[in-house]
Amino acid sequence: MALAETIAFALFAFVTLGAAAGVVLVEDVWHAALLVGVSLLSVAVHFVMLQAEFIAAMQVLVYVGGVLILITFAVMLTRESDTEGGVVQR
Amino acid sequence: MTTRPELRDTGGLLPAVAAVGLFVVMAAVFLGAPIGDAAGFPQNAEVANESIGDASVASNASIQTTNNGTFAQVATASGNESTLLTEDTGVNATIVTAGGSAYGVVSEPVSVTATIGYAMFGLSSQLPDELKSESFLAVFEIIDLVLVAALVGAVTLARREDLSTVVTLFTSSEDAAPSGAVAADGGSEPDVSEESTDGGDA
Amino acid sequence: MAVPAEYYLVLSAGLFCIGLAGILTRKNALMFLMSVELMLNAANINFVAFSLYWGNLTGQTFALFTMALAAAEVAIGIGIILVLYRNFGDVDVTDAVGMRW
Repeated sequence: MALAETIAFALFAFVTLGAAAGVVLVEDVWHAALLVGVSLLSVAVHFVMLQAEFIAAMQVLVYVGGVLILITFAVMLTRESDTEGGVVQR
Repeated sequence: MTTRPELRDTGGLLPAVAAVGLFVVMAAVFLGAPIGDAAGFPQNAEVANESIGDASVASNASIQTTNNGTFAQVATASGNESTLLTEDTGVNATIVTAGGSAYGVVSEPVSVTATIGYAMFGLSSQLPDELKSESFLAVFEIIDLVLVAALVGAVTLARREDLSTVVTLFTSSEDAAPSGAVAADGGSEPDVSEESTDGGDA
Repeated sequence: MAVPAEYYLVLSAGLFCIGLAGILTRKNALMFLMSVELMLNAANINFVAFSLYWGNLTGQTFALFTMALAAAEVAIGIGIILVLYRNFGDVDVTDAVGMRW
């Protein structure tokens, strides 16, 4: 039981940190926004493992459902229109 | 057109090395800190506690549920002896021994979510004793004000500075082309005569 | 808590430092916003982990307030970024070097 939880923690810690590192390293802002979503969702899994189910639900609703949508709006509203692939932003 | 993610060219990453160094220091401190086992949240809260005798009777005691309530029944040489624990039926009751005496204990589960609500709205009288928390009513009101301020601020920022009209998102920005700068909020650029006061003067 | 609290501390330190590296190395204002979100999440992990560690719900309640604060911050941040884009044609924070009065 404890081993299974440790394995689950290691797995989702890897997902969290990997997606977060991807946010910083990836070239395109839109890809970074998607990776932020992955990272926030796996943080919600950590909250469930910490017996904070309500916080996990709020994490999904407020962050993924609200904050990430706002960031998506900003990414799309500020995207430079004269690029074909849309990968010019730093 | 979809594009596969590309890593950005790693130039000027010296500050990132500083951040990694900070992580190494923090990890070393955390892993070396004397942090013991977690206390954890209690699963059940005690709501009734009746003494049923000394510790020797515990092996003969059992929990009985009748229509009248939940009883702790002790089997003795002279017959059965019942102690009323609670008038409710279908509750979680156990026999425990502590301090040389046996007790019939009735417990009910503690709800973490409900306790968060009690703490957030300052209902200290509702807070269970087993699950510690504090009253957060003042903080809640402050956050409320901050959120209202954020809403007002966002609306203010979305307003065109010169025209003082609320603009709508996702309207066409074709007519903004002459000034060179695309209006990000979709509003039309003001007249050329006003252009000197409306951005572009970086 | 089968997983020791130290592991959660190291995880949140890693998340915080990644967010810090993002703020230090990128120039896009949107990346700033996302990196700040990562750092706030690192703080939230610490709050919730220590809430379970002490058996005290204060940490979880405070994590909720941090989320509300993050939502407010993003609402303001989006407004600022859109005004930045309107006035400078880009969301590069190094472009905005002058103030207007």
